[in-house]
Amino acid sequence: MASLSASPPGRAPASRWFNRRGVRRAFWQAVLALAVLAALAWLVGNVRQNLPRMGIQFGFDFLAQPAGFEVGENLIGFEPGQSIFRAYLAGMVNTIHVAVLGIILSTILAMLLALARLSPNWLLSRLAWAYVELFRNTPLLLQLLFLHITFAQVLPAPRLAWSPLPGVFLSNRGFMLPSLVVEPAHIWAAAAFGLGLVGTWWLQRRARRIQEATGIRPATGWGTAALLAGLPVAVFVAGGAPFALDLPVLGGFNFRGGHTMSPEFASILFGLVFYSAAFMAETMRAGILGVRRGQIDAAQSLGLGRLLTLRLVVMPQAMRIIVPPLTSQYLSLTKSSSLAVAVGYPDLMRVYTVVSADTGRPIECIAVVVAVYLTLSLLTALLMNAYNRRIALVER
Amino acid sequence: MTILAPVSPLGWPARAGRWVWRNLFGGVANTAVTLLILWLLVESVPGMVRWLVVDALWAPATAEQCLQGAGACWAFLQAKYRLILFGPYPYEEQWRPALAMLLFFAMVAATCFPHAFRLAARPRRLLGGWFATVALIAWLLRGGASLEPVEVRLWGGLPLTLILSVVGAFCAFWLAILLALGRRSAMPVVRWLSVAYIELIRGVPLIGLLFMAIVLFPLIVPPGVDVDKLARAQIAFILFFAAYMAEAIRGGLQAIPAGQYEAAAALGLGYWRTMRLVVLPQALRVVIPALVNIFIGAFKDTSLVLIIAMFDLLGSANAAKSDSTWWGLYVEAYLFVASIYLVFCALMSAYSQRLERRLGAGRG
Amino acid sequence: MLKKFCMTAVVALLAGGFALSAQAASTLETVKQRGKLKCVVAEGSVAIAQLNDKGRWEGFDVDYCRALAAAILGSGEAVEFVPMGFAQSMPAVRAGEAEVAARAITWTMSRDTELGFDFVGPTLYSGYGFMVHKRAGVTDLKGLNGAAICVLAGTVIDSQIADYFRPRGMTFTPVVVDNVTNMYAQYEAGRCDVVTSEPPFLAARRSRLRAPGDHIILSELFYKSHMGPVVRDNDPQFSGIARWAHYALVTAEEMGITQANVDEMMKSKDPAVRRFLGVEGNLGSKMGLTDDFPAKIIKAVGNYGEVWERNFGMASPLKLPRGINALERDGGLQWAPNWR
Repeated sequence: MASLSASPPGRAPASRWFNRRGVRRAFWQAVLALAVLAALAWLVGNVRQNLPRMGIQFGFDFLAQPAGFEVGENLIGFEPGQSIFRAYLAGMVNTIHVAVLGIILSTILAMLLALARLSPNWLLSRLAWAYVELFRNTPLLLQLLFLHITFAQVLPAPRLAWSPLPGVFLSNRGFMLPSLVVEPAHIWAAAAFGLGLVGTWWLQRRARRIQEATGIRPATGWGTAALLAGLPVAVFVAGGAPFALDLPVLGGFNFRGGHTMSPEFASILFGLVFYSAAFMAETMRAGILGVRRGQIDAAQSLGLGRLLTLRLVVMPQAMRIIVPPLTSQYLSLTKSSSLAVAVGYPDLMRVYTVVSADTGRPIECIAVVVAVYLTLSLLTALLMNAYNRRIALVER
Repeated sequence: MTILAPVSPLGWPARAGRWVWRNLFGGVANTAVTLLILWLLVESVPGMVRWLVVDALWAPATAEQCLQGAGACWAFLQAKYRLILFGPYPYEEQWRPALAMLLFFAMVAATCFPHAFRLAARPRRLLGGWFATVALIAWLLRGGASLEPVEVRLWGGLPLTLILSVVGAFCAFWLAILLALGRRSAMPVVRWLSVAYIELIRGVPLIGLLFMAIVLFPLIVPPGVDVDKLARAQIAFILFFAAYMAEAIRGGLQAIPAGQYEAAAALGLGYWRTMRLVVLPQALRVVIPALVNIFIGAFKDTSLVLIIAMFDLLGSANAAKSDSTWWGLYVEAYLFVASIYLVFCALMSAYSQRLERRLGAGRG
Repeated sequence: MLKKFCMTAVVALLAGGFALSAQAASTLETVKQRGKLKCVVAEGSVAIAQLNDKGRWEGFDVDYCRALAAAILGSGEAVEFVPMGFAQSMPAVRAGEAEVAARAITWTMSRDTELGFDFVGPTLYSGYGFMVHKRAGVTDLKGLNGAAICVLAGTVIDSQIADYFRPRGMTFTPVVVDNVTNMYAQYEAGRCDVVTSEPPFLAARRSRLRAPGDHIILSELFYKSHMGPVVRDNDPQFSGIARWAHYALVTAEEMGITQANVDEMMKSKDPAVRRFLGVEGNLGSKMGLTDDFPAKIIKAVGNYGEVWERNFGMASPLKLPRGINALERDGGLQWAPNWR
């Protein structure tokens, strides 16, 4: 209990200089920093000693060397003979491709699941519950391996492909989907939609300003509808309304035309979506249930309808509960996409294993991977934090 | 009249009928959904039962018969279940990990339901029990002293999964407390280091860390130092989960009102005593459910050691399917393993929810 | 004071770290001291390295590990198997975590020279051929344009196919499969049009497909892939031991020495056999082994032919013919230098 009688620092003459709070803190921080530096120096020293002993070179020059391997499917058209850097790039683009599609699809699936869980229909909510429990409580890797075998072996050969919808074929060679033949009119219509978005934003701002000035909010419904739906449709029709689908057709060894999704891509994408959606659904459900009953009662006693209550009272509050955990679920989905290595989809991690075996540069190879994932994670976190700050501002 | 009678005068069939009516057939959309789901169940369930039970093949069946057959090949699982459960652990000694797991489960049950075992008021006895059990388990698994010694690299299957997750979570917990305190420290160097560590680890996928543990480890230690694969994977798991647990614990620390710190300071407690006696006991209580969830995640994530060629539960299921005697069969092995994970995780999350409710009630 | 103490501790720690790094003994000494050979094997690859129902390692490469262990330590059980994925196996050997990696690694120039390994054998010779469904109406390699070809993950086959196809203006889609079992399952399911492997393997696998008559094996070979275990190339003594352990297996088959008759053969009058089994001469001890190390190998795993039969041949579920891996005198490629 000596500290009980200690006088406040700086006042008592008995207090020595090294007992001052600031000095002690500085000392311990210096010790910690030195210890960390020493540990790092020790590790680097070991590496410097080990590398020559094992005959391993160090340096990032290998990134410019031609790659002697295939990456497989990729969006940037990588071929053997191009630089290893480009192979990494192909892997990174694939990782981002899976992550972005996975985030979009799992969010949609999670919303449906959350609604089903909250549905008054007992069977539907039990079914959604069973889904969530099953997918949350088994390892993602197990689900991936299972999906991969199913997609790659159990589905029939192209000749006997299963066609659940016209133009859609599921076979063990991948999922064949019809793709739109893009013509200028489509691009114009998309541009018109973008213009409509800007117009809507302007309209809403004006409406809010008028409301703040006069207390009366002008009706914006029709204007919004005209801008968002009318304008693109009008442009599309003016462009001749071209609508041609490129349908997959069986020919030779495989399907031609349309869009093909390989079983490897399908298994990592759907594996991630099925698994992550189970977690996200629970987050969303908790968010919606987290809005107090009184808030809804209050909104309804103000005369707001069901939709307006949902839009103006429930959703803003639910979003504030949902977004932080959802952010970390998006991040973990992005990182889990590295399990593509187990199903043979050439993501960044898979390219790493190939490059590492091919070049014999263990440290540099993994350094590239770590740098890319860190950047991706930090970027996602920044984006989501910005969004979080925006919706949190509503709270005042 | 009805207002006066709290119990419905209707008999149970009528009440059940009303429940069904209200929950399944109220409204057109509701009815449509119910009918759709019922149709799906009628379409899928009989087929599954046929595959699982009616057409299933048992022990004397060979791989060829199984591949021709229309049902599950339980014969494959009968030949392989011990390999899946215990990995490459010597066959004749597999009673030892089995016994070790039983001991472990018994201790877990005693810890989770102390009232049922009359241990609630005797935490010391419980702690002693754990020390004894851990020592006993270590002896059973490693051998020595009248038991055949078994090297660590031969451990596999469910015991390996349990070791990786339990030891990993236990060690990560202490590291996480330090990191969480560090992140809220007033000393900038301590804070920066903690933040850097946590964000660095959380930014990298677990599999990347495991690759590092396997490929980079021999490069960063002095020549001649040899650490087995289990220990390396274990270290990777500890470092990984500590970052996530630290964030959960930080949430608990933030929930402690400033008055608690001030009261502790007024009593003259130093930093460590304030934390140990006042802040942490309250903060940890709040975050127990979050920590249990992280542990469930850890339990499932240990399956990633498959990618670095270790035979945990999933890894040995994978090894079971690449035996030339049985090639072509895999579904049964995966189903077996999946149901083990499912039972464990579902039990843990049910317990976590119970805890959450109890803690929530206690707080009010 | 405290600061000084900490600094001293740090310096001591650093010094300790470097003190540990005394130059390691030769590979052979390391193995003998440990009493176990560390051998990298595949984590589960049919007939190459697999765990049986009782969790014991079996397979062609596993038997090589046992043979080498028997040569050095006298017992086929003195092996510590280190299961590893393909990508981690070679770095592990180079980092000294194992003495040898036996997981059907293809012998390439860059691995042998630039990456610093020595290859043993080849213990398995293979050339690659294609099997394709008759329906496709393909008779030669040119007909494979546009096909989906199943290849094994982690091998160099896909880039070899690419090297063959690209100059001829042909394309293909590689379907990467993680193990041999899946590869044939996927081929049969139609996941790929063509499966590529060594012709004898293709023939054996074809016999287990549902309709063997529907598939043809193209007579053209396009690529050779000779496989063997790898060791570090900085210890010539150990490289020699690793090579001669394999040659002992082949020589034993040439001399007709088997696991069953090896004790009998020790009493043989034939000077070549006596020299081989170490009854005469001191060839073994000059290498740092015992003179009778070939006898110990044969007792542990049998000769090359026996190892083949047990894992790939008629005594195995695969029922593969010997093909080009037969002895030289039987028209194959397996031979050993003279034992003197």
